[in-house]
Amino acid sequence: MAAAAAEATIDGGGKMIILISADGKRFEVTEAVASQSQLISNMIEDDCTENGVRLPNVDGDILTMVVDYCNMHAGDAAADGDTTKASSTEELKKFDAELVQALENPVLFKLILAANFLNIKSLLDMTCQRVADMMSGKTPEQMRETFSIENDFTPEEEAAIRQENAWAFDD
Amino acid sequence: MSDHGDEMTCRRQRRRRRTSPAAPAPPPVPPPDNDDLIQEILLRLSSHPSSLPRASLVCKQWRRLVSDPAFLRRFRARHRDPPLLGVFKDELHHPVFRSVLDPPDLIPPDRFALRLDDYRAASLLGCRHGLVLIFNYNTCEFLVWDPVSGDRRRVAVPQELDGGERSVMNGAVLCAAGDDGHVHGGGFRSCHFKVVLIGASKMDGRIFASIYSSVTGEWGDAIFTGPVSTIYYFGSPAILVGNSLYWLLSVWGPHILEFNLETSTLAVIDGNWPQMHFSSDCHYCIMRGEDGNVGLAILSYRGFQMWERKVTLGGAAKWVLWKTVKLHDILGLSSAVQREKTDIVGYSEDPNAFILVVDTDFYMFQVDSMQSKKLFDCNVVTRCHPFTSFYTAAMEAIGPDE
Repeated sequence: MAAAAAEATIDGGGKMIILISADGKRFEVTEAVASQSQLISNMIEDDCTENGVRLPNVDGDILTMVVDYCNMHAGDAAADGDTTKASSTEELKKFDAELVQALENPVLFKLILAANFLNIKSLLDMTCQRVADMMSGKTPEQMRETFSIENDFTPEEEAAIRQENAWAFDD
Repeated sequence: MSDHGDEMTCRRQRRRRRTSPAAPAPPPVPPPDNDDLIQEILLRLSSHPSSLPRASLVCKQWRRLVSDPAFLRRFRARHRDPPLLGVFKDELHHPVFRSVLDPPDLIPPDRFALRLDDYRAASLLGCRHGLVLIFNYNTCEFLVWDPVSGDRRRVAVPQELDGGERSVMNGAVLCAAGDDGHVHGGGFRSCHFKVVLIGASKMDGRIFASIYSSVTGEWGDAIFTGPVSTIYYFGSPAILVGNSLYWLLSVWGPHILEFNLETSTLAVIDGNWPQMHFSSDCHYCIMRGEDGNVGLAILSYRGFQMWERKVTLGGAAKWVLWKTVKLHDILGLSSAVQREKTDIVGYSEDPNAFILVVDTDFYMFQVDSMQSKKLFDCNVVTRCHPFTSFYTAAMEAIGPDE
């Protein structure tokens, strides 16, 4: 089946490739969609996607989101191609906003890791921005709480750091 | 040629985005333990001054990451436009900082205090690119100060530029790097600067300029205008538009002094003002117009007008009305403003913003957004110099190599 899919071409010549998640889930996508990942784009250039691309760092659930994202944004990447397939900017904005807004921390962080591993710049940008936005207006204590970060400063060190820019901790 | 994303989407089994939407909120999970990814996140924090100090108190790793000079350079490059932190007021010939931001971004005056005994009575000439320029007439030296990093440099004016029949009239500071790709800030370690001195030569009635470069540590040769009439005053601090610095100059009526940094030419431009719009009690200052044009803001009984100086292909210049705004509208005042109680006390070309005073209330008015904000009230109405800077140089100072 995989072999048949990998062979499959469509009238435009968009070859299919198979992505395989850490837990063995398989995703069929066009090269145009997959090429938004710089990692996969390099593999396509090097002709080593024949037997599917194994992504041992990316779970199926996360890869589902990544593939959704890439499908939506394929129009962006192929801007000179058939514009009828390209999603409208409005649609994309809505899709992106819904995607990141819906995410809880663990999934958001996994998506960041996947975007980083697959080297999909726009997805990395969007997900990192979402985390940065979550930090906005929070005190250091609230940030630690939100992200479960251990405070490894001694009380003296913490007091000294506060002293450096005491105004920045006023609310 | 064309991709077939939609068709392919149909082939692939769609899955629900969230596996168990009804599940209780999962316990918090730390971000990936990867310096590069945490820096990617921290890079996207807002450019407001409290962002990085706050992040630096979360844990040791974050503190190390936000004080890394390479990260701080990327932070500035990513945000490009430094935030307007506040204004330096010229209070009794001493610069006093007043923040224009709300807590926790409100930097207190003490943080940006000059603390130099021999600069207790000096002339604050202006701010640009995160630097403050002060001139000390007693010692005849400029002081270039980066309040965020705390870097200061005294730049003595040589005898041939100030002494005898030549005297310093004004000056401007700017970052030495061209605009391409360079983002200002980071202290003297990462930014060189230029000081442009404007002086008057009494004997032959000419104005001259000279440029000091922090790269060479030397002043360049004086560049002269042709003879001009008596110089009465420099009406406002310099503005930088494109590659030229401009000063409002009074030589038998308002003129503009133009110093082209690219061609190193100095010229007095006949203002040829839109005269009929001046009244004896109006306030005005030059500003940055659109498309590299010099503008003129006039605050008078007619309201607040902004004009642009457009140069035609033939070289002739004419003033064109650009914007008219009703002060009480933009400042959110309930009634019309009595003109004798208003004044323009500050302006910055970047961002294009005015500091206006109504009675004792100070307002900031941003030309591009047409938004205004009430800043503070103060009985002492003095000139204000808007100050923009990232807060990154202060973070660099806490780095491990210090």
